[in-house]
Amino acid sequence: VSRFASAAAMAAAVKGGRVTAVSLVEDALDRIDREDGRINAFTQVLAGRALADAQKVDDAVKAGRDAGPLAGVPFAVKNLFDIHDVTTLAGSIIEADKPPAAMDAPLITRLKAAGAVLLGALNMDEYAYGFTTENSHYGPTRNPHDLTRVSGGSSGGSAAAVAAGFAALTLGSDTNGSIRVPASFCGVYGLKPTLGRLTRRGSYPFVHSLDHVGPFARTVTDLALAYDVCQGPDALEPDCTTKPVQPVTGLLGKPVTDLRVGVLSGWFEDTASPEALLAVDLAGEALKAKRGVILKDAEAARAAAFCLTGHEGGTLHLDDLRHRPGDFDPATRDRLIAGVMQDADTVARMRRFRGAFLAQAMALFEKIDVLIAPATPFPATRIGEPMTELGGKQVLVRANAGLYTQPISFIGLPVIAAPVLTGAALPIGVQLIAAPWNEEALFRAAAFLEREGVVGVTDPAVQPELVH
Amino acid sequence: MTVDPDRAAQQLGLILSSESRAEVVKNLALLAGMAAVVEAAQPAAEPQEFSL
Repeated sequence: VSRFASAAAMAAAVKGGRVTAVSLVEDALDRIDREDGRINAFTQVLAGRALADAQKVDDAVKAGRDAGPLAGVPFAVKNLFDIHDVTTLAGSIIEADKPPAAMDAPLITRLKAAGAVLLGALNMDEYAYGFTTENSHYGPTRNPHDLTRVSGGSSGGSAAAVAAGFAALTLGSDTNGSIRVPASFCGVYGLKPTLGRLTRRGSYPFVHSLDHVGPFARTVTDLALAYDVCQGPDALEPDCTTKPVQPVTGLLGKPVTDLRVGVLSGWFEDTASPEALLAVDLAGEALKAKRGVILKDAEAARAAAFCLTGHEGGTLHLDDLRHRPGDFDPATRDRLIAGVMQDADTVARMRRFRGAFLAQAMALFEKIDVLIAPATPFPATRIGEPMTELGGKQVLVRANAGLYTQPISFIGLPVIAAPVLTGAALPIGVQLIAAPWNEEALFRAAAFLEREGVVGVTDPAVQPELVH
Repeated sequence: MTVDPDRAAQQLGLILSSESRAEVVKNLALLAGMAAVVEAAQPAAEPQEFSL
């Protein structure tokens, strides 16, 4: 089984007795051991535990039991998810002093119950506050398509691990774009479901009102499999929906002729790079999308998300900002401090605006099922270079990589970030965006684009040292 | 409203080094710019409680 095989193909091979889960995991561990020194996706590898878990999957197959839809599939998680007996770092050194987690996060439990095997924890921006995974404590995660470039963030390790073929599936979190930005930069699929669709319990928070969790994968089917396994209520998480589970894996082959698709214009194209515009054009053309759709006040929504993030994030970390300011990355610390200094009236205004902006988006969804927008304004930038050109100006990468993701997560809409096959050396993705709870439309559109050869994951062939 | 970083730091119990203070001031300016963008927006819908 190839390192770049889909999770579905791996599980089928394990269940069919053509390969063992132990050998899949051994191969993955060997690759990580040989190659992750160059990429730095993992902050901790749990080799012994992974091999023991894989053996249990093989025992189930041997005994004729159903080993699950993800039997033997290696996966890994952003290091803000609780892993039993492992300290949850959330990209910080402050958390490294804390005791290990008492149990796995529920999403890890669900993936394991489906047969997937946890390999370890993945690098991220400190406290999820960034778009590049240039972590000053644990080092940058390098982009498997070009080791001189960032992986995106804050779930950079999660995207890079999938792109490099270390894991078939990973989990990340997304507050302002932290799944969609690294998915775009690393050329893999990422799902940010509707706010509240998947339980966030057992994940280190960043901005309570905006935090989402979701999977990364190399195919739409794998993304759907992971999403379906992760769905379900959580009685211990009041923010997790009690709506019935809505599986999508069986719907991927449905025609898309009934889907009304539009390409977002205005804010979402005015400053975008030619690469981002090409990606949107290709996806829009294949889906026969209506052009020039305007989501009014998107710029203001992005600005409001920016302010709320600083305030809620700063409030969360206020105690450590008082007592351990030297243990933060200075760039994280000073943004959090400024955020928490905002006055209460400003923050209240941002929250009121959020409801109004959602109402405007809902009016748009009366006429359109799926919106298309760039996932990032540009492809992956160079490590250590804080500025890039955008719309003819030099801008901060860290503040601008989420230009097009922030307005969408601000109101909790579900999004698939899909890598578009533009033919360029560096990947770039589009966002497929739907109304709340309509993940089905996204998966059908993404699966159609994949069948048509418009989106898909390419192997990081530009790095021959990665492919032995 | 303009935030006075020194007064805000005192109220919040934060101690700012000179380097940190300079960066905080820059970030406050960025946030003020963002807040002004929200202030200038005139959403078609009335402000309301956010709920999905």
